Amino acid sequence: MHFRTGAAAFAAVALMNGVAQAQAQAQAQAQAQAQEPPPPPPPPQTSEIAELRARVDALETRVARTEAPRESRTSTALTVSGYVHVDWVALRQSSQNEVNPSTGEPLNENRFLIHRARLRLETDQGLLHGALVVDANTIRGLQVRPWNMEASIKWPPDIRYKAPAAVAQSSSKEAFVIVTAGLLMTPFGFDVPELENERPFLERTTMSSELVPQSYDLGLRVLGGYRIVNYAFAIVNGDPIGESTFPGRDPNKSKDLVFRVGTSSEIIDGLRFDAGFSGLNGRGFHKGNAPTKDQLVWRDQNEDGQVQQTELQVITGSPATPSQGFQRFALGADARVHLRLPKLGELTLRAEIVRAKNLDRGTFTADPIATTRDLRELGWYLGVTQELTRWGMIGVRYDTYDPDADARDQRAFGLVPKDSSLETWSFMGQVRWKTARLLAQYDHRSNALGRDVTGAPTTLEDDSFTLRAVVGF
Amino acid sequence: MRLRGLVFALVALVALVAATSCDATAPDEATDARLRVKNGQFFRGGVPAEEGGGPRVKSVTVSPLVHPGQVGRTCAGELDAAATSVALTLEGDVGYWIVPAGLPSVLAAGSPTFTAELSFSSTLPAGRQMFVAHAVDGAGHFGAALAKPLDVTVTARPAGRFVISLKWENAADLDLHVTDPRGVEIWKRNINSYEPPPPDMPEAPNTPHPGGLLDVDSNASCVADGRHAENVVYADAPPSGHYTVRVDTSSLCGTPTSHWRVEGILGGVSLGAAEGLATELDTRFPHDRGAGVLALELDVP
Repeated sequence: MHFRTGAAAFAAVALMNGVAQAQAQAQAQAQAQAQEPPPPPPPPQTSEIAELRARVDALETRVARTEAPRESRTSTALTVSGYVHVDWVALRQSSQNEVNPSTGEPLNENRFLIHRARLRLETDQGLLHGALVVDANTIRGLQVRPWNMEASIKWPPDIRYKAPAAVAQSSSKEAFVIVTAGLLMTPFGFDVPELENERPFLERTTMSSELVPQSYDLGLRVLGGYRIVNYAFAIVNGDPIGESTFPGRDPNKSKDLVFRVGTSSEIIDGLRFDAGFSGLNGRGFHKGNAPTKDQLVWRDQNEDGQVQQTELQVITGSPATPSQGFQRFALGADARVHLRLPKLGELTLRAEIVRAKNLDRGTFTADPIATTRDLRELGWYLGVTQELTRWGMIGVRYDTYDPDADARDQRAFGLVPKDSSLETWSFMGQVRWKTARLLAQYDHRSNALGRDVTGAPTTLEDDSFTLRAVVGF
Repeated sequence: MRLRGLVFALVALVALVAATSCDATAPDEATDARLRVKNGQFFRGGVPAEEGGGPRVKSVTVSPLVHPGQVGRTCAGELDAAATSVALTLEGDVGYWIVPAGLPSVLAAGSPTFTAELSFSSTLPAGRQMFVAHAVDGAGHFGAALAKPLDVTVTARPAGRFVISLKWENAADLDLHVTDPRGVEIWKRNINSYEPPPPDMPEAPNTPHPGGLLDVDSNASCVADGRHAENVVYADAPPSGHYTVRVDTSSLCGTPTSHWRVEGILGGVSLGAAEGLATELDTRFPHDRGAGVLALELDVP
């Protein structure tokens, strides 16, 4: 019953719909007949077709000429940039008009010097990116050397290449990844990869200079990010170019793994927050000794200038000792807050802390095989900078680094704990104009390298005042 | 106003940090000091005044004979129990050296000990010098002085009938080669002109061996000894004839060049002298018998 009623209703609706369509067609035909019909187009002539074809060919040729050079320019685009840091060390308390008796190097530091002059050649070919940076300086005499040599593949191709520090303090609406190989910036923390021409203070902290000297190492790196998250992973030799033992080389097959995972976001208008967590794991190298022969040594014990039998000693030779490896690691966290103040400019707070084991590769190179114990390092810094309109900036930074948290000092009746920390207060002021900066910085350093009259460790004076002129191009 | 506040805060912070840095020690290589102590901390100026309650130096052992430029002389001693360091100096020197006290000796359990490696300036004047030690306690009180006399002897040219001397000015390792009229070469690996007799003609014990003798291989293997001089000495009359003197630059030991002078003196009269400059080029040749640049040729009547 229900089925029969539904079919009848459907038939009625279809009938009504068909009637309505027929009425609409009739009305349209009546309107068309009421209007003037358009004249039929003349049949195309052969000559006209040939003329049109010739015009199309000409246009295609012009387009091809216009686009071909543009494409060529893109594939060979080369950007040349650089900067020069000219320093005048007006005061350095540790400076002396002498030479180091061990190395023969002059101890005077009150001087003019080219701290760094960098020339950067860069090409961005969409999917591919390459960079070559050459460094020249006069720190230890005139020196010219390659500094950064890397080749990258990036995706998506139209994104602009970013260095690790830039990735760490920016967010991206679309996901990107940059895979880089070569002599590249180690992506650990923020102070290590921060570029020299962007750092507000003169130099890196002692912590960074000791743990990752000169920042650059050979290896493979993956950088990327999406929205507020960014990341960097790298596998490197573990021998940065500023290392004191095998700079730029690798004495063992083990590679160091480095990572940093971070976030960067604008919390509210004018307030940005960046933070990250870093890690490094690898193996260090202890150099073995070559075999030695027996030696006959004369020690003039009674100082009469004559050889007596009792003054002759035999120093027996020793067999070769094998080289050994040792485990090392570092964990770190870094954070920055950028607050844009009206009229004055940006206020930036920065902080970082690193805890490491057997990682020091600078002045206090860690070798747990030689010391027969692990060397635990701890370093951190806290800094604040304030822009003074677009013309200037002032800042303060405190950094401390302990190369050996378990250091001991031999005193009269036993070993006592020793604080071997190196602390630096840096006070900086600078004026800026276009790409130029004039920077003045006073560094107040504390250490445990000297002794007071009681024989206890104390600071060996090493404050400095430096003026730096910077020009970029 | 806000800018002025920031600058004021920065200046105040600098002043605060500077005020906390009064107890630092000034770095000083002390190359003008007559006494140098390896791994000691140098303080320029006179030793602070002794205090009645200051710790004593119980004993000091130091060689009483030194010569200018001498390096690596050992000094050791014992201190009162309250001492934490010892101040060492030569009387009238430009400063003093602080050496931390070490563990007590086995024989005196309550007495801290110290050891120091001493070097003496090459300009140290000849004569008697007073080596002075003061013990210092943990509060910085200096105790009474313990003085030890040192007799400084300037190394003169060795006595002999005929002396051929080589002198130079720095820590380079130069070697004197002298070839006598018989063709025997005297140098660091053949320090005299003695030629042993054939095996079938053994000589009697205590037979005198007149001839030339090299006194020392100075700065051998770049171990600086402060002498910078070598001499071949003939105690008695040398063989007559033609002598050839060579100067071999074994190593410059980190110095860019070394200026040298050779002289032959027979009975107090100079037979001839020559000067030269050793450069890095001179180190590239073999350093065996016959090595070196020809410096001087002498004829002894």
